[in-house]
Amino acid sequence: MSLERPKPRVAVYICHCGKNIADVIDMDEITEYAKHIPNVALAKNYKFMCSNAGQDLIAEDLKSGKVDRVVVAACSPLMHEETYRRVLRENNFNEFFFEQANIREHASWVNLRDHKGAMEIAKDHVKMAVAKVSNDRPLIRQKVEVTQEALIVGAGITGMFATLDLANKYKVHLVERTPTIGGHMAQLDKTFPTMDCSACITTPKMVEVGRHPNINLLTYSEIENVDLNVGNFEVQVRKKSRRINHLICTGCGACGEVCPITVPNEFDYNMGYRRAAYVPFPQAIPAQYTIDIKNCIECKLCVDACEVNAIDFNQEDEIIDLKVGSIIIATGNDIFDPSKLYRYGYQKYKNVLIAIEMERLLSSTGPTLGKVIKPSDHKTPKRIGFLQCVGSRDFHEGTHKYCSRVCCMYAIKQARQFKEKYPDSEVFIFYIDMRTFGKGYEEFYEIAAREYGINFIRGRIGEVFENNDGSLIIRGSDTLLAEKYEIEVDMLILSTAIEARKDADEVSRFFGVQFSEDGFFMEAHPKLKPVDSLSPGIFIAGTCQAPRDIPDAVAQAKAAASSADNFMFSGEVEIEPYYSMVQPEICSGCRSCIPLCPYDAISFDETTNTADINAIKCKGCGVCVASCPSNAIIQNHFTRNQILSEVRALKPWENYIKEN
Amino acid sequence: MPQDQKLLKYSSEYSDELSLDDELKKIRSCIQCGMCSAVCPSGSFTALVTRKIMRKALAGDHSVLSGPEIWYCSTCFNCYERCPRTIPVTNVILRLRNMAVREGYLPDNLKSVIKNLANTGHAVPLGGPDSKWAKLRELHKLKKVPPTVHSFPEALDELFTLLDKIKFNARIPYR
Amino acid sequence: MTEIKEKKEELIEKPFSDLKYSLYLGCVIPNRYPMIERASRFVFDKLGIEIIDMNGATCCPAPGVFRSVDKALWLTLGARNLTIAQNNNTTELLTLCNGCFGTLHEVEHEMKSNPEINKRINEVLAEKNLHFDGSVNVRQVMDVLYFDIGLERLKSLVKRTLNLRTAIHYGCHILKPATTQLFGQDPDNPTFFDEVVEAIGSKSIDYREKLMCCGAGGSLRTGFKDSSLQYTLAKLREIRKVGVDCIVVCCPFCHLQFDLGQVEVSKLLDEGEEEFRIPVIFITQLLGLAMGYEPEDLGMIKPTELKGISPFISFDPLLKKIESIPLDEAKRDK
Ligand SMILES: Cc1cc2nc3c(=O)[nH]c(=O)nc-3n(C[C@H](O)[C@H](O)[C@H](O)COP(=O)(O)OP(=O)(O)OC[C@H]3O[C@@H](n4cnc5c(N)ncnc54)[C@H](O)[C@@H]3O)c2cc1C
Ligand code: SF4
Ligand code: SF4
Ligand code: SF4
Ligand code: SF4
Repeated sequence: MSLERPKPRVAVYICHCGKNIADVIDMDEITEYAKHIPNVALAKNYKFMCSNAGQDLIAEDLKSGKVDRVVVAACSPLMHEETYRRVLRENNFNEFFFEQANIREHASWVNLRDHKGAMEIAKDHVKMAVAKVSNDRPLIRQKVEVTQEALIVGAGITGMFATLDLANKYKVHLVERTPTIGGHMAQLDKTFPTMDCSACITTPKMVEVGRHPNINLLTYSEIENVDLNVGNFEVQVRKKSRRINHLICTGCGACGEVCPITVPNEFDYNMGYRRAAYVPFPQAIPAQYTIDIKNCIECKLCVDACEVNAIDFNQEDEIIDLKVGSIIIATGNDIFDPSKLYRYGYQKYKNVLIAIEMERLLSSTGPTLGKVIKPSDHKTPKRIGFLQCVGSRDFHEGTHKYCSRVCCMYAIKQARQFKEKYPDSEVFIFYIDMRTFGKGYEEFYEIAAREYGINFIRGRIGEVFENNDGSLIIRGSDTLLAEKYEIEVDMLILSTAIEARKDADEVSRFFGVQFSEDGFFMEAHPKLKPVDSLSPGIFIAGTCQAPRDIPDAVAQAKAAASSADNFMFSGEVEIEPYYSMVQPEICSGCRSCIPLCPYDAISFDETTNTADINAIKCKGCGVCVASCPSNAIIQNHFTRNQILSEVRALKPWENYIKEN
Repeated sequence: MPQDQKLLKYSSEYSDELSLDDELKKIRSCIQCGMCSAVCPSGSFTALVTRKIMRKALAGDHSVLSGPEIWYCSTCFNCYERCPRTIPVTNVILRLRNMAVREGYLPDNLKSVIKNLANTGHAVPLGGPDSKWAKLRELHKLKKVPPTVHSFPEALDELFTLLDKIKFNARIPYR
Repeated sequence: MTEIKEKKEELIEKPFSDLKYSLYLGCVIPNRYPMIERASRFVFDKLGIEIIDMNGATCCPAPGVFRSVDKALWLTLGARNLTIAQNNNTTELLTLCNGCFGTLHEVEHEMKSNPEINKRINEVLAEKNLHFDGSVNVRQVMDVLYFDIGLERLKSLVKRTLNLRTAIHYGCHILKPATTQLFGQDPDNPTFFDEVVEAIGSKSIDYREKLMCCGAGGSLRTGFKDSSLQYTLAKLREIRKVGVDCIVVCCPFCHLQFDLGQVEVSKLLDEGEEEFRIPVIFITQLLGLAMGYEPEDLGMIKPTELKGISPFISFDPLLKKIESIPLDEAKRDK
């Protein structure tokens, strides 16, 4: 028996990807080339490698005993790495003896007109993949048990639906920051395109969440700390003191009645008032009261007023420890603040509002009980305007490039509601493009124009001026007539953008989720993994991921619940073996890697005086590997030798052949 | 005689030329939102519709250069600041004016100012040491002739040399 | 004893002797509005600011006409003007005009940030042994008042609190493009001019269209005067609505457009609409008045011996009002 490792025998398969690759890269030439790369035992090309026939091709060669490692040159590994690994697994080969060379995204698509260049790049990629696979080592996926409980962060419509879907099978902890669940939807009056009353849909669901035996509802609570052990996340939640014992409080409201302190109600965007002892709105869940410590003057009038003695000024914040198998983040969105767009006069002119404020004015449970009034004189406006795309579709710093997707529809909705209440009024919507793309949406828009007589004026408003009586002059340019105009309205509503939460980076740090360029949480794959984060077991849904309306948010909630279920269902989870390892004999104990790990996976072993990496928490990002001054850290599947072998493969062909 | 067809023929001639400059290239991303024309003060008084200028330039409509509209802009930079695609609209207009001048569409009233500059160094010259403006300077206890090119013949020579060097007269005859 | 006291006063009177600028006059100031030159030189001298003339400077060239017509000409002459400040051994070039600032600042920016343009223009300049080495910063009088002197020190200069109701006109090229603007303020919400005027003891009265262009620039006045006057008329009407003692500007071209413009818009007025007679003053004139100097030293006279000269709108009502305002010291003594 020879001590030398047997020479790897690599099979290379080049995929045409229909015409995506084959139209640019000559299949025969690259196959012929691949045959001459050191260690390659055979090379073939095929129309669709990912098809059953393509997979069979690989399986046959593996079974024949002629080859023991596989390279597929095709699309991105994000797309099909798992497909091909399965083929190896099923044929009793270690699945890590596989590499995928991405010659579609990296070579053919980006060089449609330069076939020669594309070929050169493709050859390099194949050569590198062969070098890497020749140096790959067999790896084994570890399995860990998964806790059969879930955590949902944020109890808007998304969080509530995800919770309800999972609660039939698992215990679910639902953490909500504010004193009530419901999120933005609870603030809406009616919802497009069906115009059903928002409360009528939301309230029963809120009640269900509040009552469900499998749901542990933690409102007025914040995430305090998270330990990212995949499958067994340890989460600390701070349940803030409400100074009222919720086990006793009946929600009778006696405390609120005697409380002498009135402050603006955040739920009504500060247009209405509440007491320091309060519920944000009558249908809030939980229905029990909260004393807002910031504004309470401790007069304790409420203590006497409460007949069941629920008020407890000694109540303290409570820290609750949870252990969960999966997490769904549904923290929703913030709303763009347009006060820096000076020409629109928000917060300078009294009668310029933002749409969510209008939503509260229209709401029968709002501060005016559904009567729309002008802040300047509390009279009902006769002419109102909506300005679209405020803070959206704008490439300036401080605004957002994307389309917020809901504002065209909510503006039409509010315009129609206003017209229903005040048929004699006049309504103008100033838009760039009306984006009414959903099911039933275009019809909704058509009726708004035809039956309601809402005026649609194309073109962004340039400037707004305020008259002495509070009415507003709007100056713009009708782009369809190519005429400048000035219109007088009594009230202007800015359809402001949906934007990422201001504290999104804190949430992202807790849960190790990434951002997209627009500030929203990033999905693992825009098409194939829309609700997965890049951290296994952690999912994202609703408007924390991108602007969307309620139908889409609920669809995502259900998708995330099903993904979380899938993740926990088998009771165990496989961990990718890409984690990094400290070689204790080399580690100098300098600790420089510890604070760098974004996933908090490195600890220090005081007995051996070396760093130690928790394989389950490690995501294999490689930061520690690169940072270690002693070169003591190696990362599975991306060892120094493996990476350098790829780099060496980039040498000119002759030298490379000679050396191998 | 058959009437000339009034149909627009699209051409990317102007937008291609503008796109040689990385900033001006942004004009290709115009969404015709109308912000530029909405904030344009000139548009309130003149036939200038800035948005339409952008569209005509993109469509390759010759009237964008031959018409007077581009000359109605007072270069206030409102449109430049507010375009949601951050197109430097004012600079696009200035470039279109350059292109218009190249094709011979220079408004008459500008010609005398150009002559002033090219011949005296000032677009608004004093008019000599005996002019009323020189006298006014004197009344203000200032030197009769300001210490500009007006007081330094060698500076005027320098100006002439530089104008020759850039062959200004060949483009815009001023002599 | 008295000698020392005098010296001391002299020091206080010239508190900014560390400041030094090359003064760029442009065209309109020396050749049409010499009162601005007079007022500015006078005030700078009293402040002890060192001013060096830019001998042989030409038109900036004006950003409207010349940038539109021929960018090569615009860049070449602009860069030549910059070399004059450079050869004066000054790093700061001071303009009293938004248009000159617009041109020279933009040319400075292009010469410093675009190697291609820098090379081509310096090749042209080499014909006359000139070379722009990038050592000059283009400044505007507002930015000197706001930053180099600063609001606190401006406040301390005030000897006569005028409390005038003023309509401020910012102009365009001092605000925009915002990316190269000196004040770091949103062009839709600038405050520096208001801050300066309030610091020297007058009131800035808000009016609709405050940020609108005066209409003179971009060759519009040159090419299509009536259209340009429409702008001015729109602004004047708004200013009249709020009622002010004067319009304050920081640009001679805006100055001209408001001053001569008030006469010129007469033909555009509605029937029965009253003619405009609102005095227009330059920021250095307002500063000089606030420092307690005589209007005459600030060029605020209207020589009767000449016809058709600036100012076209009389200062009289303003001067009358100022006459009745005592020096702060006198007030305190009482
Ligand atoms: C003016 C307006 C009108 C609209 N009208 C309609 C309509 O008619 N029809 C329609 O389909 N859509 C409409 N929408 C869109 C709709 O509001 C959203 O699609 C929907 O509310 C998104 O729900 P969500 O649960 O994802 O987020 P949210 O409703 O934002 O809920 C997120 C929840 O998470 C909580 N939270 C946030 N951060 C944390 C944290 N760190 N820890 C704990 N909890 C946290 C929040 O308090 C909140 O309760 C409208 C939007 C606006 C702005
Ligand atoms: S394996 Fe990838 S490249 Fe090949 S056919 Fe499938 S999708 Fe296309
Ligand atoms: S949904 Fe409509 S209003 Fe909102 S950003 Fe998109 S286009 Fe603009
Ligand atoms: S503002 Fe910009 S995007 Fe909008 S029409 Fe004008 S140039 Fe086009
Ligand atoms: S720069 Fe010209 S086109 Fe643009 S807003 Fe001003 S006047 Fe109008």
